[in-house]
Amino acid sequence: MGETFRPIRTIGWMEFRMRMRRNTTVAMLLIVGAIVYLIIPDLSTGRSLLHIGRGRAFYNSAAVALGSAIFCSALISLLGFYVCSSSVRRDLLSRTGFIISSTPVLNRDYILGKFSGNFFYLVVIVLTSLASAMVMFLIRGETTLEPSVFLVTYAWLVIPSAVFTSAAAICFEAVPFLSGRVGDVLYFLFWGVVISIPAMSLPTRTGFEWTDCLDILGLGPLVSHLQAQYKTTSISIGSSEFDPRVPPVVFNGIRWIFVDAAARICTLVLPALLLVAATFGFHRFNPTRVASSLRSSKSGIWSRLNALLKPATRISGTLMGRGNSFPAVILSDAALTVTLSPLFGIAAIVVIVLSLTLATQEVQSTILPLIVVILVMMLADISARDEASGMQELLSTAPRIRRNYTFWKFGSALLLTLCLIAGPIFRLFTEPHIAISMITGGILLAGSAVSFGILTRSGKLFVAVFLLLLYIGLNAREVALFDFIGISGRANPSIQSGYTALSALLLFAAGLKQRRKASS
Amino acid sequence: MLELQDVTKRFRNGVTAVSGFSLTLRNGVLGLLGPNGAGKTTLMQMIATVLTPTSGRILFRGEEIGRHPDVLRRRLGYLPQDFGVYENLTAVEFLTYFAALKGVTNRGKIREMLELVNLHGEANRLVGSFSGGMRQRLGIAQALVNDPDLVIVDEPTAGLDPEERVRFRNVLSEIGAGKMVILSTHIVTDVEAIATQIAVMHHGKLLQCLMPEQLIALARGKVWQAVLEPEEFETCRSRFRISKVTRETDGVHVRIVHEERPVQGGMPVEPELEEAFISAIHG
Repeated sequence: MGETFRPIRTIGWMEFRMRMRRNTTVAMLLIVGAIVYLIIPDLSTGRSLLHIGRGRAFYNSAAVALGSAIFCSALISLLGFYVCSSSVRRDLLSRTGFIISSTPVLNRDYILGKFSGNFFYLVVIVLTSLASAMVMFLIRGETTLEPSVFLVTYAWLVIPSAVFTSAAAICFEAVPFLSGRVGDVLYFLFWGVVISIPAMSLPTRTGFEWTDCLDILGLGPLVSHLQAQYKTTSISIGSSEFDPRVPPVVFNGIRWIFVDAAARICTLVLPALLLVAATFGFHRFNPTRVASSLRSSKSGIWSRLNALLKPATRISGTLMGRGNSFPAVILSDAALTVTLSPLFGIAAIVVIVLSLTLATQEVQSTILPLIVVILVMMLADISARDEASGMQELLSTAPRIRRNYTFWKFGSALLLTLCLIAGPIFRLFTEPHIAISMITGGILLAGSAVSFGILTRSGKLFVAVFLLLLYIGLNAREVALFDFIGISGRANPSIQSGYTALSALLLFAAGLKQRRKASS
Repeated sequence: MLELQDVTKRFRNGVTAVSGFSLTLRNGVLGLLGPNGAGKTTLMQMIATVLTPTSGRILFRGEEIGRHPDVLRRRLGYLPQDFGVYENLTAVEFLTYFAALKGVTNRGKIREMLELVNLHGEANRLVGSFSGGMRQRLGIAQALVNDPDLVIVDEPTAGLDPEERVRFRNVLSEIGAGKMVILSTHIVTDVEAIATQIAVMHHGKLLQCLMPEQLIALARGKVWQAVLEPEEFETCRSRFRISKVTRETDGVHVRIVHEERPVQGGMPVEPELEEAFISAIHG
């Protein structure tokens, strides 16, 4: 029995160990701690973590554990995917995948090994969230800490989410047509569907339903208990203001009766199916199924479409090499981005035409989000691609680029961003606060794409953060803070300047890293 | 024994990388020589079970590896072209990982392999800080850790400095005594010293498979030495395959590979392996 599981254990343990040694893991754990700190506010500020019905929840262990666990579950299921989904690519780029494929390791063992590596890594993040929540409870709680309540709540609510995310991450990497940047966006849509279906049936939920199998966040059991205890399904999680005149609601926690426990266990069906799909769809590093040498994980369809559109890049190609001034070099890099993926160029033309022809309301509510999605895909690799393709050293020998690499890339990303948002800005110039939001949002997108690429050497974090921000922005249009690019037109000058300051801070950090590298 | 029977690999884009390749291999070092794009890597990948042939069969000890890949995988050591590493692992961890994937549980074997490739002093250093040569030696250590019967190394010396290349060749030479080793390269000097057999590939086909001295014998009478005037050299360069050029005070000394005497005063000379290779490729 032990021998059967040895390859799974070996691959999983090595995967876990390699992830834990990365600097980004430390950053990730610090970010999780910071998020928990922010979502559990001090009650004296007039804000609270959890609201049930019209009142805030009394800060007991059950309420704080529930609020932070649901939040952690959502975070793990989305950001966790982008953090985890690089293990097969690593084997591909290092070409150690070829060695693995020539060993007796079964596809099933490889997939399960990578899955377990992903899972235990996510468990570390979950434990960090759990520990941070307990620390915050000690500081801001209104009763004594009950660690067992935290443990049970996290185990039932967050662990299924970690299982789902680990399985999805390996599935989207192992199956060739799901991998790459297209897969990153597809997962976001998949995630949206998976969490929306159970949410739709929540108001009418009476007991176990088939949609519980998709309820990776664990909202079903929660809503059942709210209905039973408080005759309400209204719940709000995350730091928000409460009315001090309404007495706090004492939440006694979810009693994990059989039907709820069964519902949570049923959520393991979907990950199991994903693992089966990963095993059968796994390319086993077969060179005819994966583009191993070009260090790109674009899917076949994406590559083929770009190849079809290649003749169109003659236009963008003419923009390269228009002189040796710094702006000309910036223009060359922007032109290169479109030349590498002409689909982006076509998409840009389409959205520019649409933004000039549709009604301003539609431009703001529909075209702008579409532009954000295109920009996220277009800019994700703008700085990471140089290192991934082995071009970094060559570029550092070019005049002016070595010391100004970050600003060169930022200039290029900003130029592309402005090209795409120029249409909406032109149409909405009568509402200057929205136009300003679009410009500051464009700076944020361009600055983050470059900074995340330099700091993490991958475009995944950028994709994850901005798709999440877009999702939240579209679903919480009334919250001004999330209006980072003018979609709801609610951002005020302080929010706009805050986003600009954040862009500057990120660029400063990336610039520091790049300069240190250049001088080493 | 490894047997390749009429092996062909045709890709979906219509390119035939390997065409009707047949060969029988016993213990010793087989140098697989061919120009870039000859199909060497594709052939190696098929033997290593990474790729499957479009047609033909590959038999290892009588078992077809297309049907039973694990029969070969258990006895295989493979070092692919442009081999990379997991940068934040130490040499010991890296080797332990691949040993485990190959079912090797003996920890002493890890130390033994590191000593074989002279990396025991760097066992606990992160492999991300290794030089190209050290990485290649670590690569060969992982290929040998399961004590394989068949070792496949694809362009292992590309990018190595001369000293590292010699060291690497010596390691391969040592292990080639009791095993089947397939060494793919386009650098003739790599195989010259250690290969017991040389297979010459061109456009996906096997042109020759002989012992080095036999290959050289085939080129006898086809290699010529001459001293040319500079103008004459320019004309000659565009007409014939020149294997060596040295400019001296009395003129340009050249060695030419050609079926017949290429220039007046050309003298037949004993071919070198590189010239035998050129002769085999270009008829």
